[in-house]
Amino acid sequence: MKNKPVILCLEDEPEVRDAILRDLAPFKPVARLEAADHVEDAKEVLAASAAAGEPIGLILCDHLMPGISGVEFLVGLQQDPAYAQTRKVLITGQAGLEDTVRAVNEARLHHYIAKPWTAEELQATVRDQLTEFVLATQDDPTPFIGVLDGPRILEHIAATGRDK
Amino acid sequence: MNAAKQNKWLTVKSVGGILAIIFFFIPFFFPAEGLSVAGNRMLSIFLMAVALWITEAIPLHATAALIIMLNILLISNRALFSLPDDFSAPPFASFFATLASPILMLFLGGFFLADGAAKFKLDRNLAKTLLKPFGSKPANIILGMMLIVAVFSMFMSNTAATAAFMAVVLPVIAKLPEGDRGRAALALCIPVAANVGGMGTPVGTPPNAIALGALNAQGINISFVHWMAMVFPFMLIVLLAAWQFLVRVFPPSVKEIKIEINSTYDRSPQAILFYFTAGLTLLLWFTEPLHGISSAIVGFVPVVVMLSTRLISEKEFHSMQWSVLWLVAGGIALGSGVGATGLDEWLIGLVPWDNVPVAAVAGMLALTALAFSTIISNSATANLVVPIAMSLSVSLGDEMSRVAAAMFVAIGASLAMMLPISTPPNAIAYSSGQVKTKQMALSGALVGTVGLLVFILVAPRVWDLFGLMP
Amino acid sequence: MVTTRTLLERLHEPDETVEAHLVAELDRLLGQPARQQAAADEILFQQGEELGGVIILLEGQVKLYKMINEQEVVFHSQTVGRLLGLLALSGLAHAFFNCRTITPVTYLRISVESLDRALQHSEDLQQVFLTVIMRSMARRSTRLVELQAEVLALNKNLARERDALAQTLRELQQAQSLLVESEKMATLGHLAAGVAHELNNPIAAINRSADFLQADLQALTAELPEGGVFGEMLQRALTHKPLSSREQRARRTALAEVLDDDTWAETLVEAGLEDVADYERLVTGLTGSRAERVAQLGRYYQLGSALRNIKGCSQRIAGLVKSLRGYSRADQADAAPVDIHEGLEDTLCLFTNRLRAVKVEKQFAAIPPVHGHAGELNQVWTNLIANALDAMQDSGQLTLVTAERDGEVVVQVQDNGPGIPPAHQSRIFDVRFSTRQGRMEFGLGLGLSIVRNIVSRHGGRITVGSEPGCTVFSVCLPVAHQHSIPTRNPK
Repeated sequence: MKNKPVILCLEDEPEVRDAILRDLAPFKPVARLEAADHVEDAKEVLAASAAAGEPIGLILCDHLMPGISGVEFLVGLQQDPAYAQTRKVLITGQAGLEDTVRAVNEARLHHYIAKPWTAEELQATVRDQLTEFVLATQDDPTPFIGVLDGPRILEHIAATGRDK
Repeated sequence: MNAAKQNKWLTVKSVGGILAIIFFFIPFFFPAEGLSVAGNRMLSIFLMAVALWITEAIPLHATAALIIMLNILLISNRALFSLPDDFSAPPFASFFATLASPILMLFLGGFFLADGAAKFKLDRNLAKTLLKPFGSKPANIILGMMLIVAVFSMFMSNTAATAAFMAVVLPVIAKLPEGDRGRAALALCIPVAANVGGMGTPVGTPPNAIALGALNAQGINISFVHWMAMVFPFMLIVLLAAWQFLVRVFPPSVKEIKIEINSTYDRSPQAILFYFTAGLTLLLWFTEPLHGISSAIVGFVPVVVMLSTRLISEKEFHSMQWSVLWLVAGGIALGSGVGATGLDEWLIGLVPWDNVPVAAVAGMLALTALAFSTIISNSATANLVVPIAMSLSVSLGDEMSRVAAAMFVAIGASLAMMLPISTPPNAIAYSSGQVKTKQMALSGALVGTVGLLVFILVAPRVWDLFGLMP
Repeated sequence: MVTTRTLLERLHEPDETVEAHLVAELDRLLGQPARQQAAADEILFQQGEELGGVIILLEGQVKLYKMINEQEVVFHSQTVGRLLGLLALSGLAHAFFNCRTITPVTYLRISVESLDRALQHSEDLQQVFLTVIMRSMARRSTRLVELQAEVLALNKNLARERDALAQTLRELQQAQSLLVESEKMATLGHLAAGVAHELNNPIAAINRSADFLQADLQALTAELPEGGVFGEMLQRALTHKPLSSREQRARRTALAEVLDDDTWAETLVEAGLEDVADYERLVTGLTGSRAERVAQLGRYYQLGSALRNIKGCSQRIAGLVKSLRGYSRADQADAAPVDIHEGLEDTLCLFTNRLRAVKVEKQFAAIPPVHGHAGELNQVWTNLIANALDAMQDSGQLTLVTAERDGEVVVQVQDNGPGIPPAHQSRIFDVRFSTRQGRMEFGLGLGLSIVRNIVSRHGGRITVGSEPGCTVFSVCLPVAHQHSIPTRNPK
């Protein structure tokens, strides 16, 4: 598949990052996994993906990190129309109510996963969110049927699909 | 990062675009001998269309629009560069008129019925009702699914039919044990049935419309029910063969399969109005010999009814598959251009056909269509091959009618289903992860072979026997 | 002998003269009206009673009062004067007050008709009578003004007392919430200590199991024919410091450029392979397609990484548990020598999640132990650090300094936050002081009053110096101060 959407995992602790990436391995056939350990690095990933023409489909973001917080990063991202369709998920054990409310209101946060997470929970969330992204942005969502939310994509194709 | 990707500017699409330009100018610099000025110009357009439709350098419907424009600019009575006086240039409006060809109106009627069926969930409800008699034995269930999918894809797009029924089948597949070959049978039966079923009616799939459009341009009108009478029985044979193949080669290990489709018929006044409209349209289509109202005119009935009663909302109207209609129109324009400029005769003249048996010519046509459409879009294939097939049939005298020639191409295009990229239904089944490419190739090869044999060797005799050949 | 005087002259005569003159004139004109007697505490007339004349008091005292809210309210006793029933005479006809005798009295009761008659006959009487009335009324109205002033003064006192009461109530409530909060902390401390203790076993088991797994895995790998390379991958993952995401990406990019294949490069990097040479060296002994061979290597690398992560993380948990136990131990224990640095380290460890964006600088000198309660002192450090972090909004520099000076241990907690306004500096140790406007953060920042309380119970003192960009809290504690220190909650 050309120009796969990117799943960006922003997490400062290498052990946790490893675990998240391994849990996301099932999505590799339809998405490229990228990791960043702080916000500056995440911005590099965004720039590189933009240069390669790969859309950012999903950002999984921890909240407490050195430097800028995850919520701060997501809020900043919301200003950029290039990421208007990007799905934003907070995965954290430490965001307080205030931060979470801010993330929802100002960064249009789509989902919140509390640590510790389970593989099922994380995968279900990513599957849902990436499906949402794919249906909103891809002309032909067919290649995503097997890995993402098949029934929903089929429903979409049944309503819009055409013969060629 | 992505270093490799950045280096790959040499993509299929960019190559296609460059080739299209080169192809376009070849006849200008090296005109074909024995071909008129207009014929050479048309050859330019045709070569360019081949490059663009095969590589999809620009969207398929964009190529169609480009063909219509180039036809007008190069070979119509308003051509930018003057044409010899002995050439009677077709009026430019006739190329624009392809966008409103009667056959497109018929097709449009099909779109409206299909959209309505999806909107009121008639497809799934009917499927539930129709699937009941097939019990729960896997082989029977698969037969039932195939018949139902085929019937639905006769009226709606093959892609939509596949998507709708894959959603039903995938949960069933998930319950089969890992590695069960029955998974492949269940996952393959849907796209196969949809691809094959598309042949069944004029509105089943775009190649049919392209064939009918080309015939229509030459003054031959095939009614809805006439097409069905010619194709449907043989389509059933192909379908049954595919069924037997699937259940024998990929037999499910379980004794029983339960398919759950939970829904009930919509009984709102709107839904009932739709049922009535759909029923009336189908009835009129099936009874054309009795009343003589053209199926294109009948096809406009659901359009008018469903728009004026808002069964199809403005938003739904905007999101209709307009690109398909443009694609078909481009094909019709290409065909009529090829015919009007004598390009077809020149092309046919390149090969001494006299020594070739008719069946071999027919087989070759269908095989060409099949081979092309295995790789490229079915509609593009039909667009490119139908004009040639029809002039070929003319040059053969009375031995093969133009109807049969056009039909063989349309059917050949529909029979191509060996690769995931062959058709959108195949892509859907493949993307579900339940089918391997090898399995798909195997079933596709069988369907292709059986289909070609049945349609090339058996069908023409039966048509003659029942006087179906116009 | 009665001499005729002007009204002005009369007004200057003493009361006795005027009153004697009035009685003499009445006796003269009305022919000695009968003297009446009444005992003490007897009612002469009642509020609302029709009097029909005046009463002239010759001897004894009475009081004028009204019944208000079923209580006797005395308006005049000293200021009554000799003439009673004046208000009734002035047109009301009915008595305005109740009149009760205080001592036995002698009086004259003169009807309106008799009075009228006498007044018509003597101009002198008119003057005397007028004088008596005026004096009486003047005294009464003065008394009214005094009464009014008294009421005002009373009201003022009342308001003052009410304010004082409300203030006391507020203080009580604050003291109570502090108490509740510190009780909560104490409970939480006990709980934490318990949980920390419970966590020790599983953590020990995880730690040990990870070691066992590693040993067994290495042994198992060594038995395989390809054990060499697999063992190398395992070891590589176990010993290498994990790459940062940036390094990982750089490695992938470099490899992608060499291989001209992004996905393949990604696969190799994820399998722990460093470059093409590395890949070629490792896969030579393996069988299968190139993807399968790399997958085999990758599996061992992933195993090693997972094991390394388990070990690393369980050690982190073990460290946290140790700090938690150190922090919360011995709240109720007797005073003992306390290692200040241990307490500071434990406290910092428990603040890990708030210290991510904070640079912590520790300037620890060699200091002797302090005699006291470790748990309580930890509470001091917790409060000071929490306040510093609050002030810096969790990003900046936190400096902890320890030193020994003049037989005292000095601990300084310093932050580079905005500082404490001079106006607040003198009040921050007050029980009532808070800049948090009623917001109670659970567990932390209980208030500097508690801190000062603990420090002074340890025989030490706490001071603050603050300017924008530098706030220092200094705690001085006596070294080896052997006297017994009272615990906070004496049993």
